[in-house]
Amino acid sequence: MSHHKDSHGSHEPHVLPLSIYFGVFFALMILTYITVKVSQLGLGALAIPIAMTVALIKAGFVVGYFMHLRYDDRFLSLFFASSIVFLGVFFAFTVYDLGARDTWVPEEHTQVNLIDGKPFCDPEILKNNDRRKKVCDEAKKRGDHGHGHGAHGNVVKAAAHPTPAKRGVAKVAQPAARPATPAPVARPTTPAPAPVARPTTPAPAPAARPTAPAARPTAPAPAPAARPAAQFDAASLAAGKKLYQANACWTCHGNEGKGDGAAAAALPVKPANFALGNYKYGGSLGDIYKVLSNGSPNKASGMVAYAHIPDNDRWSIAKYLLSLKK
Amino acid sequence: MSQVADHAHTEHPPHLHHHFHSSAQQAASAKLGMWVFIAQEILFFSGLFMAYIALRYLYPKTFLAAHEHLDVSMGALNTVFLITSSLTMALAVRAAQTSNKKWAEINLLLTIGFALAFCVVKYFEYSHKFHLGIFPGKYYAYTHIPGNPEVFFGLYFVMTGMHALHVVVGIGLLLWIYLKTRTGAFSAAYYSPVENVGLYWHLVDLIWIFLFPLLYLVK
Repeated sequence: MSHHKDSHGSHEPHVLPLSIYFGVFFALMILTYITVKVSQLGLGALAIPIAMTVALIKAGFVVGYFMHLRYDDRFLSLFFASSIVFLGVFFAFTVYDLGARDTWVPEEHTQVNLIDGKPFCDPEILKNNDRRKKVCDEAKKRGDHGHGHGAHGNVVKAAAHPTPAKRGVAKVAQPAARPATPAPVARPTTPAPAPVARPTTPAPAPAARPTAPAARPTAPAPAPAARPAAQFDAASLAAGKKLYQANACWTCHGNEGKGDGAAAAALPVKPANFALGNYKYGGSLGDIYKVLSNGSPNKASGMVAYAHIPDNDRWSIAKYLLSLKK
Repeated sequence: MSQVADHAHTEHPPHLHHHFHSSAQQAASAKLGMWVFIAQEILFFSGLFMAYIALRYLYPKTFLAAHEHLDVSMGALNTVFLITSSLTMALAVRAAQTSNKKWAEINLLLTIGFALAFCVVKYFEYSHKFHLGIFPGKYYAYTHIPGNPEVFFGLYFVMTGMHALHVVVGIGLLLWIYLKTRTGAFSAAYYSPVENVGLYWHLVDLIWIFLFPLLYLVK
């Protein structure tokens, strides 16, 4: 045990000069400034690679100097590197898997991507999302309509807090000020040129109009054929839609009948896309009713007979399916 | 028992545990343990970053629309706070290495101060979002962002929340190190706790270096 005395003193800390710490600090600050500025340029597809490159350089400074790894035992670097290697394996395989899933290809308009970018309170989305419907109904009650640009949008719970109240005043003040200043000046001047300009534009319109009614009489005949929905009463279409949802047709055929339901990817025979008018065994109401009642003639298909659904309801579903054709 | 205690204090410096040969070995072991923990932390956060990649891939429009609602200046201010605290932390470790007790105390207090400033900014950011109705998960109630903003903000709250939790834990560790420094526990011969808490604190900075551009900046 006595030999310890010597080894105690042998642990001399490796002290870096102050200039390294301050140098790294200023490098990190400058790099932060660069990322913020570059992000404001709107570089599009280049933005992520640039931001990540700068972040990696910053990380290198922190790990190498602040965390001392450059000067420490290589064994520690091995541990750090191993975590990065496994992180790479994890990311690479997951990203590869993500890209290989055909249900997630944007062109296929899966349910996930269908919602992306649509207004939060889009009526189509609210139909299938009760929770979101509740949020939107409450916002509507407050007179707070979603417009998609939240930076200028009204604030939820406006009355409860002081800041939105201020904003509310600004909102009210604006429309009040608008008619007061520019309107009375601008109004009298604009009507004068208007009558001059008007006659030039309406002139071709009456000329064009007569051709439209002339074309109409021929049009009504093909029109119902193109959009068969017009033939059916709204009540049976609504009932058909309800039954389509209640009988889980959407799991394979998708919410809009595009054949893109969640289960579709796993099926050996892909479901019909009704939106494209792809009724596989005939596009008449009777044909659809027949497939629905007896199942698909193709034995490999997952479309089994739905004869247990009452006859009337089956007709309603068939009508609804025919109405999905765009 | 008293024999063992006597033995320990006559032949060893007080910080050296019996199962180590030397202070150097003890310090190296402690640091190795810390780096294993850091590797684990990186893999833990990698799950959240992977979730970010996957969700951004699935909802590109949502991410672009929703990230506009984060305040870049707040995020940049917090980046400055964390980088500065990383510097003061590194200086505190250096002061401990050179047995400069007073300088170590000052730098540890500065580090704690910047960490608290980070939390204050985070508090204002979170409270502004809650105020708008931007809550995590099913409580989300802000209708002005198109797409699936609840997905983006769910991820935002989990990622920044997990990071903020690390900051709060870090403040606790820094306070502990500060109090021990005041009692004169650390010197050039023994400063492992200061060094390892420093490594932890730099890791917190490291994660923020990636969180900041991904959540606040990328257009």
